[in-house]
Amino acid sequence: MITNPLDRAALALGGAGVVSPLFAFSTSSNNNFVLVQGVSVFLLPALGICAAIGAFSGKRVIVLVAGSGFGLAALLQLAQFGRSTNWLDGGGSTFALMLGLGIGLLMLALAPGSRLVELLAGDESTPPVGDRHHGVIATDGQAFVEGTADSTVQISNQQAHGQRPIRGQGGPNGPGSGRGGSMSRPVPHVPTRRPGRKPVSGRSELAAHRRHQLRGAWERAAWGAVAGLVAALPVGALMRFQRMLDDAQNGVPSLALFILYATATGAAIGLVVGYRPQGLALAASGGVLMGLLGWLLFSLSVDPVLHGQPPTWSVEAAAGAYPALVGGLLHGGVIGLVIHGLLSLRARSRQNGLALAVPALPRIVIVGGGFAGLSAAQRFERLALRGVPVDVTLISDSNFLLFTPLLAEVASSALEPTHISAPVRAAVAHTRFRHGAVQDIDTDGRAVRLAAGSEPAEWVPYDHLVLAVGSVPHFLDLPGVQEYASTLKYLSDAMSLREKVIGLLERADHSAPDPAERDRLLTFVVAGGGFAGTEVIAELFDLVHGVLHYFPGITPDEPRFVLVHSRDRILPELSAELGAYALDRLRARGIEFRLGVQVAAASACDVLLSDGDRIATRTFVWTAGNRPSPLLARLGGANAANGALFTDSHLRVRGLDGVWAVGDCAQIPDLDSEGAPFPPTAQHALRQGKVVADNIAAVIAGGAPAEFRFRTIGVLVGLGHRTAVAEIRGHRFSGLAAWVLWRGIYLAKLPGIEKRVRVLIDWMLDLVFPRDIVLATRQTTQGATPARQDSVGQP
Amino acid sequence: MTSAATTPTAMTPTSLLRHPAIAGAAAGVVGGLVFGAAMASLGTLPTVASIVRTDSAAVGFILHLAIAATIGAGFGLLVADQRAQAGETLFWGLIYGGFWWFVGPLTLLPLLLGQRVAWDLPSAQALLPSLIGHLFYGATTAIVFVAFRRNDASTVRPRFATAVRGLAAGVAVASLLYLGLDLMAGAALGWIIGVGALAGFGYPMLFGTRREGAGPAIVRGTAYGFVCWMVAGLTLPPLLRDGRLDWSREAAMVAADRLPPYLLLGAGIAAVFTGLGGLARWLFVDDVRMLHLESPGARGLRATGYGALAGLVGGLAFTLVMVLVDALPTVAGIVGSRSPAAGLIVHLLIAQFIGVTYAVLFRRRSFDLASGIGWGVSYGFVWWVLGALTLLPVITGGAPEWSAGAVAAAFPSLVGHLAYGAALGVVFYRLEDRTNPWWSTRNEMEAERVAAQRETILGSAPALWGFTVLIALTIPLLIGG
Repeated sequence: MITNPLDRAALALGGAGVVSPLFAFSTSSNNNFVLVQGVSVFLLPALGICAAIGAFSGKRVIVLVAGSGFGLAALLQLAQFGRSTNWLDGGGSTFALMLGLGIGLLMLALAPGSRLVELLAGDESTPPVGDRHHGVIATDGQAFVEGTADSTVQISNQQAHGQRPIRGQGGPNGPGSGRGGSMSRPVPHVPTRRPGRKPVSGRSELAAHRRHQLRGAWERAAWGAVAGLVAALPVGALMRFQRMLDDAQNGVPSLALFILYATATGAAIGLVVGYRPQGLALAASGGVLMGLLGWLLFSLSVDPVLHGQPPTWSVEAAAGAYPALVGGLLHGGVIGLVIHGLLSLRARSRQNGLALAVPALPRIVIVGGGFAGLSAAQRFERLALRGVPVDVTLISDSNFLLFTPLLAEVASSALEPTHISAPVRAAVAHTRFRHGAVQDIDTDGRAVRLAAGSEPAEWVPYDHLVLAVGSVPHFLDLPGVQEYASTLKYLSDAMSLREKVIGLLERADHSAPDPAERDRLLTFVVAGGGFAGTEVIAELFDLVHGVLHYFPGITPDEPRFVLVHSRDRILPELSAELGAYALDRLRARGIEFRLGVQVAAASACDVLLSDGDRIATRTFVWTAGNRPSPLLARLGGANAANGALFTDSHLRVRGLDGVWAVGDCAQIPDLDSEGAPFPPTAQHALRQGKVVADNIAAVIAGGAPAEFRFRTIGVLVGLGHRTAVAEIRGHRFSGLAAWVLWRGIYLAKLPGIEKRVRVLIDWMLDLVFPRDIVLATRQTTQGATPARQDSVGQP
Repeated sequence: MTSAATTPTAMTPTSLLRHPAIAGAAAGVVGGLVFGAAMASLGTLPTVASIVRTDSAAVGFILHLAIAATIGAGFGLLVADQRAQAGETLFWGLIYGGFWWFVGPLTLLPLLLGQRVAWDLPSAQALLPSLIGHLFYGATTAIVFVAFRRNDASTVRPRFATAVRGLAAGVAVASLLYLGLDLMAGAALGWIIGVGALAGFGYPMLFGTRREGAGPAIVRGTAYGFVCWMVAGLTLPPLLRDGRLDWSREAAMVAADRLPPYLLLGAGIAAVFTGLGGLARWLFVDDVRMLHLESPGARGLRATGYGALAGLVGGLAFTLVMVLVDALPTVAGIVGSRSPAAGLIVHLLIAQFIGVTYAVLFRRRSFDLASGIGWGVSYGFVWWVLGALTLLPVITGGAPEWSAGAVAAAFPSLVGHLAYGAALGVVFYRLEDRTNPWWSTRNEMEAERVAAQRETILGSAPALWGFTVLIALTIPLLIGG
């Protein structure tokens, strides 16, 4: 029993097709209203039965096929008028009958509410086309012009932004409720977990979005093709009756070619122009524009080639093809109107609740805004543009990426602090960014606890977590070191070190009659002979001697610089020759090196070494140790001896599902070096971030992640004024050439051209102006040093 | 309960005109009066009357008004949802009128008279007066339609300073054209100063309250230049001289040599007017909210590189046309050579330069394929007028080639420029989409801002694109084919 009125109507039309051959038996011309003979006797009932089957089964696609068949038969009949070869043996009445049946069935097949419309629009789980929010929802490039009925935009926005769990606005479910409520946390503001959503890999969601992308494009093209055919009926019929399609001359196609052209033009207009609510004029004008461009492409360019002539695009050729221009313009305009009408029906059917459910995207949370984290976020943005939509949230306790290789130059007043740091929001403009610190990670409930400002902590859920939390200074529990040592890890460290050194120079210039105190003020000790320590001691040397002319009370031989290193040579990451070269150059400037000894303790006024020596100083910089963020200790995964997370070669944390780690906080095995961990450098972190994004995208898509393989490109170490050492792919550089290389490469590696320009200007100004000695913080000379004056071991 | 709540709304003429179809019909009648007056002057009213099998001009006029009202109602329904001001709606009216020229006199009228459609070029050329009339009809209908539906609260009238700025822009551009092309290249442009002043004054009257980038302004200015030519170059001279209209093909051919300078004048006025506005804001506006928040900076530089790349791709598309029509030696003449290789290099360099200017002018103006194509082909047309018709002949030692014959002869170059523009616009859009899709947003507030910007762009841009390509492809054929 057919209950749907649309199906009943389709059955009626199909029945008309079935019974129409009765006219073939009419012998009286008075009763023969429709000419049905020859092939039509079989074609009409066949297509009519097809329509009836579609009506009985409720499958509108069969009705669509029948309608299309009638429409094509009508066009075929149209093409046969006045010709000797009349395949359908019909006339104008046959054409009219078939055309009427075809249009009727097509309208029924594409009527709102039909399953076919749903299929064309994507299934019920398909999101509304066109809402494209990077890192939030990313679909395809037709963001605006396609089906973005206002209501659907609101829905996706709510899903994507306002009411997403990340907002943590409170709700009935805790972080673990998505997994059956196994967790219960006494957190005041517990985020709303997506009801019933399992923290899966996101494969099904991504597949749904990919299906949607393809369907969205296919849908527009299909609707456009239908509109092209519909528009071709009046225009084609007119051209046919005007004998324009009889011969394929002067850019005017034959009828068959015209039908093809109309279909292709319609599909192109559907793809390019698409649909906007209240966009009737836009669609029509877009159709006119595309119709005119189609004339240029087909009538003036392709058609001559089809006729064996090269296109000339001359005014004579254009004049000959002028009828096609008029036809193309009218056809394009009508297509635009028809497309708008068809897609309006589709949008209306969606508003009626047929296809409003929006599947959630895989949620990626990246913790850490350093090289690795930012690189991953940038890669996700790129992947989203290439059809891998994901919901990315980047969490970092600093809202900028710090270019750490140039940190020592900030400490030495050679560069402005903000010039080596790029705002995260600018670097990943389409990713959701949360400025705050992650306090805890619940790998079972798949959520991280975020504290931001004075707001109550909230849980941010994830499907995949990327840990790129970097490292923090490690003081090895040496007495007094954490309290009295300066570090050079953050931008604020460099700024405060610079302030401290200049403040001490101010103090030493006019006071300190006590020779011991004067020595302390003018002695600068750095612990650690790696990259950071070597660069810091060299830059401090340049800073002090570069500004000494401002301080007439200090003689050039008074400042003392000491580097303490536990090994027998500095820069162990470089070859021995370059290490020795650096040592020689720095020693030649008067910098002292205490090799083979360690710092044992520190106080406000001196540093105790492991060999018992004591160096009196007010400036002690600690670069001798780093360790991964303490946050990692809260995780249940396998940790290395230094606290880093063990990962496999695919960057997955061992023992923790859905958790990935990159950068300094990860112990990643180098398969080309028998599993030895990769060194914690920026060049590695950048590549790891990129690979982890690719791997997560691959896993989401159901593919296999790739192994991280990378061969260190090189190492560059600045040694102060016009000197550096570098080792790139085994090639060694030193002196001025290495310095030029060092500056050039780091300039190129700075994040963003704006920062490059600013740093370049800083360096150029540094050529002609002295370094700045402005103290940014208000301090008295007395207050420049801690009040406590005790030496190590002297309570 | 207030009395206002219980009193049914009175159907006043003013409230009736709020309905788009009625307002459109009324506007269509006004447009029909203008067109009808022109038809009376041209003596074509009996042609309309022939639809009802009579040759009475009065019957023809009444029938014409009825048709005008009907078509005007369609216009009202079509553009009712467009958030366009009067100036922008003008272009919707123009393209609508132009479209109806193809539908009406070329198609329906012959069919109703039992004749063949007038789709061939000679017939279309004979109907050129009707095209001009339809354009006037569309423009009048659009302006009156906006006036009927105007919301006084939202109407912003141009200030005196804006009008002065327009006047200054008109005089400056006209002077520049006169100095550069009349005195130095021999083009007869003695008339352009006065016309420039008037056109410059008129530009802010139509578009002055709109804040937009220089690129869209140039495209709009080019279309504005065509309107100015229609009014001041084609209509007024015979009207003032002989007291009658003459929109015939012959008259249009005579006036054709002023069409390119009008187009350049319009584009220049728009560019200078917009530039002066930006300069004034930069110098004198102390409220940063009134300024563009995004400085050109890093992304601008990157976009410039993308512009060069997109220009190169467009140039390669154009190269196909140039090779087939053997135009490379002509381009090589810019550097004093006749070698096709030199021509190719010069051509590609120019293509990249124009691509860079496109990036500067149209950055963040495309958000889908249609807008990329639209801006691209419109900009390609501007460069056909400026480059192929004007600068190339001048640089190679001649005078600008603005005659009807020369314009028609440059049709292959027009096709190449449009292909170049389309490729340029599409590639640049794809590059922007790939790296910095400005329409991609992170939250609802940002999405609203972007939506507002898109609405602003879409206020009249699609009509501009369509109208630009329409006049680009039809006018050279109608007056020179």
